[in-house]
Amino acid sequence: MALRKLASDALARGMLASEALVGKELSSIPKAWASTSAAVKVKNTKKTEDLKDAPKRTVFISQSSDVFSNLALEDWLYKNWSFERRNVLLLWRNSPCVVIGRHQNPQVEANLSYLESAGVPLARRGSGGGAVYHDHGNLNCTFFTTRDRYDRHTNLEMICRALHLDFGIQAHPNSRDDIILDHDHKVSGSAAKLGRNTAYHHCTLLVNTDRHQLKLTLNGDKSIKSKATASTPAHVMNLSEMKPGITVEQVLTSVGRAFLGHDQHLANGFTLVNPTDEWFPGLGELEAVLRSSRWLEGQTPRCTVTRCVPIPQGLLPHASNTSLAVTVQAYHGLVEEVRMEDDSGKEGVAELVQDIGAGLRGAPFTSDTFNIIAGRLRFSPALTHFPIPASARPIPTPTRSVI
Amino acid sequence: MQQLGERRVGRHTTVSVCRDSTMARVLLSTVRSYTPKLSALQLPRSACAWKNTAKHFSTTHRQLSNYKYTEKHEWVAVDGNIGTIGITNYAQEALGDIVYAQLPEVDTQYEQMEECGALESVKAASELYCPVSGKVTEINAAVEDQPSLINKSCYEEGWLFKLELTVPSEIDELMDEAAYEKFLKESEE
Repeated sequence: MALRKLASDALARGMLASEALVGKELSSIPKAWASTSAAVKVKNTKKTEDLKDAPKRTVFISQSSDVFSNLALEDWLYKNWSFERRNVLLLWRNSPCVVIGRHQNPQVEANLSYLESAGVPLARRGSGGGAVYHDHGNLNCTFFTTRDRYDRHTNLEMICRALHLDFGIQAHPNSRDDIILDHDHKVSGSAAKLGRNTAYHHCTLLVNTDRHQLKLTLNGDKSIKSKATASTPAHVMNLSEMKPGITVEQVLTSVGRAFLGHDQHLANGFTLVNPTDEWFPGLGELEAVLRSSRWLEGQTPRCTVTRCVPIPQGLLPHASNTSLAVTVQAYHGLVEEVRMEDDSGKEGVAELVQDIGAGLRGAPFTSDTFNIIAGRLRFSPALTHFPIPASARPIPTPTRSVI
Repeated sequence: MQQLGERRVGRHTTVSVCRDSTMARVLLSTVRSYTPKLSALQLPRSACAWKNTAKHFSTTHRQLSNYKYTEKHEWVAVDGNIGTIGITNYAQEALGDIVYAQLPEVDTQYEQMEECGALESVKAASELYCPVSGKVTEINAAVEDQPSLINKSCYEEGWLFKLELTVPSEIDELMDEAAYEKFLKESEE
């Protein structure tokens, strides 16, 4: 794997060995790192006291490409570490997956049936914002700081500077904190989570992503109405379209070096991390929460969906009506209420629909829910009260007359 | 009836707060208070003698002197045993336009400073922390439907949730309005 090559390069240059850094403080700067940057003179613009108090900078590179492990690692660092004396940049990549924001609706954002058929998992992150597609051509960067030092724009400016200096790519952050290339094409989107003392800002960086797959996966059901955070669609572009041959590893090194800066007293180097329970005790529990349906579906805000459901002919006064507009209201992924969209002059049917709703309350709201409602409408025992012509009644299953 | 505490806060002011009443029985007779002037009953410090003679009234309009503040810019307004929680003007300005409010679920128990929800604004999800321990009794459905209420009216219509206090003494540790203003000034420097 290319990441292993990078790791061995990093180690060859005398950077800190990975096993020495499991959740421990990085106390000393390796001498080899100091010697490679010996050519760069430290510009002593700040007073010595400021330099001593300034936070140390560390870059972590995750060795996992599992989205749940990486999100759990992000969560672990956010919950367990203090960033008073250090700023951390976590660089990670995932196998193909879709990640939605904390308050989004998965059905609205992603094409769930396509995800299932393509084997692409869906994950929900803890920060806000919209839905994104990750794969091996996308680099994720998470900047951890204290809540006071949270500053998205500076982080994005740093990334743009790195891209310009190392690859000659002219990119700039816009007012929405997206990184834009070529006037209006988005190569990066940002989101953040703010806690009591700690905050993190993370962003994607499209280096060489499969844009076709991106379009197919982020193609959800927009007919669902809700107060959930909506994604803002944008024209996306890969960095490789501006600079052919660019790889994620190169961008990773470039961004990491720019983050560490020229000040060797503050730079703690690159560190490879493995998001497992052995390295980060308690990470397994965080990962289990991220995989649970309580988190994935249970955080979905209230939404309403209206669909036309087929009904037995004759149920409604006009014999030609064969479908009924039914609205389902769901909260936290469970059915809350089922009602008819337009219930003028159809009281009997409205009650029937409400009975079905009472029966379905608390059941998970899935793509199958409307089929279930149609089935119950068709075979409901209450239909005997309706003047449905015998020809329109559902045909009973023939019973065996011969034993 | 259980008397929680009685404190002399000024020359002419005695504050008594009692539990087991759905309406706050607070008697203030100082000029600087924001409440309408009530019948001035001079209370003996030891007895709750006004139990039978005090008039019941409901505090329908917000008494700003009832609000307590945390260092993380949340406020708690106590009314009997129920505390109403919201965020302060400083917090709503810092967050920007709030696009979604994830409120805690009713009947959930929270410890002080435990995470109980989130406010999303401009792609940043900001955690909500429970300023006092308690059990959630009610959430503001209006804010779920229209999160901008928090920006427009963070002390009144933009309240977030109510809870039944389990450790009422925590309220005393929070800042009152004057202390919070001072805290804000000091943080700006």
